[in-house]
Amino acid sequence: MRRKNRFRLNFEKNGLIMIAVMMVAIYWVFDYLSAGHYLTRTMIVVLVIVYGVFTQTLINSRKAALDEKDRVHQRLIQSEKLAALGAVAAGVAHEVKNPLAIIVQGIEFLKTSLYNDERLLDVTYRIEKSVIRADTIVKGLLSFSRDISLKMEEMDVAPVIDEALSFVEDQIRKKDIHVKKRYESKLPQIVMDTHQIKQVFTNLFTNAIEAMSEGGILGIRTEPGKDNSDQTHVRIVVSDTGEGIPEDRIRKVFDPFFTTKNSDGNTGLGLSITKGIIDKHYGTIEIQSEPGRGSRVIIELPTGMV
Amino acid sequence: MDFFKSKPGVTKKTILIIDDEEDFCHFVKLNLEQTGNFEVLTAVNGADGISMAKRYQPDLVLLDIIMPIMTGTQVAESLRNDKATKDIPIIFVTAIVKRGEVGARDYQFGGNYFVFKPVKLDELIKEIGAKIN
Repeated sequence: MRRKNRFRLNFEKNGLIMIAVMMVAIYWVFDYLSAGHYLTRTMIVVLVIVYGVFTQTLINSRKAALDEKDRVHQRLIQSEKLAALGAVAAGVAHEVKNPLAIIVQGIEFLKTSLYNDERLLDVTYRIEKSVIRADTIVKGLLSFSRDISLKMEEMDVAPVIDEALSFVEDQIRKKDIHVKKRYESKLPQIVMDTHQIKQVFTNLFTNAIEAMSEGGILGIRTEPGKDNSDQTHVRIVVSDTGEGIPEDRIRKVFDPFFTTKNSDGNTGLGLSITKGIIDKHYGTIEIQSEPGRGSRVIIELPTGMV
Repeated sequence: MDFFKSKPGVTKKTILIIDDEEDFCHFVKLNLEQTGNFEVLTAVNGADGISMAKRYQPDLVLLDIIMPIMTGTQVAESLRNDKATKDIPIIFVTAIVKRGEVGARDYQFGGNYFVFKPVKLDELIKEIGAKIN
């Protein structure tokens, strides 16, 4: 099996050279047999060229099919991972929330008892902050297990994007980031849950801003498009000029708990939640990145009823 | 929160907490009693909770939903079906995360009052005030 795969990969890699060699060989044989017959020789040349073109087309389409299969496989693994995580999260959440509730009540009591000791009060506030953080993580985890009932409505995507952008305005200003918007004016409406889609863009903008530690350009582009089955969709591209994601990590960015950041409040759940929401809208999400130059997130959402 | 400010001569409200998390009961008791407005009773299982409710007639019950042996839903049902306890208001205090995830039966027997763990004290007092009023 492995040998077969190696041959296939080799063939795909060096297919053109191999075809050229075969063509020369065929030509040489037939040319030798039909020396002096010009029409036959021309026919042979044409046939060899047609043979070469067809073979290469076959190889290309086979390669495209294999790539597609690989992408589907990756998506499947991803959704299986999320489903497994969801099942675990639902069970764990209840067990974790109870001790968190005890800690919160304990802190409340300490706060009222330590009202004149600033140092100890500071300790209680810090503990409280950590409890809230842990609770946020549990809530984030639970969004995998919940069967979120989407409130679908037909809407323009641009106002939703703009509202998400307004949530991160402060960070944009602080980091001296320039926002470059290019919205297609005659864009079809999307059937979506605006609250969820808003969360998607807030996550993406937050990631983009965090990737641009010394300022840069946050690009937002919308355009209409069609997929392979002629279904119309809206494509939204969010780009940044930040540090980018190394090639070996880009496949993992949608994995729960995977993160490229070191910040304290980061749970590594943002992109997997984002992907979950896009999946529920029957859309696709893809990330392209060039380390040192920035990243691009491409979202495609179908325009028809879902 | 004027309603709960300590006033001389104002009768304390009796709250019964039914929750299998003993430490949670303990801390909520400490916190509520510290305000000076509440007398707090605790029970760590449904059966004890029901008999205490009958015996002490609390002004309100704080009830956990997921408990071993007897769930909060069953406790609420039992309290509602008993003449002596049917009018005692119930607030579910639960680690279940969202309203939508709480079974419909809990709405039926417990009214619409829920607080979700981890709950902060001021939020809890606000809900208690709303329900008692």
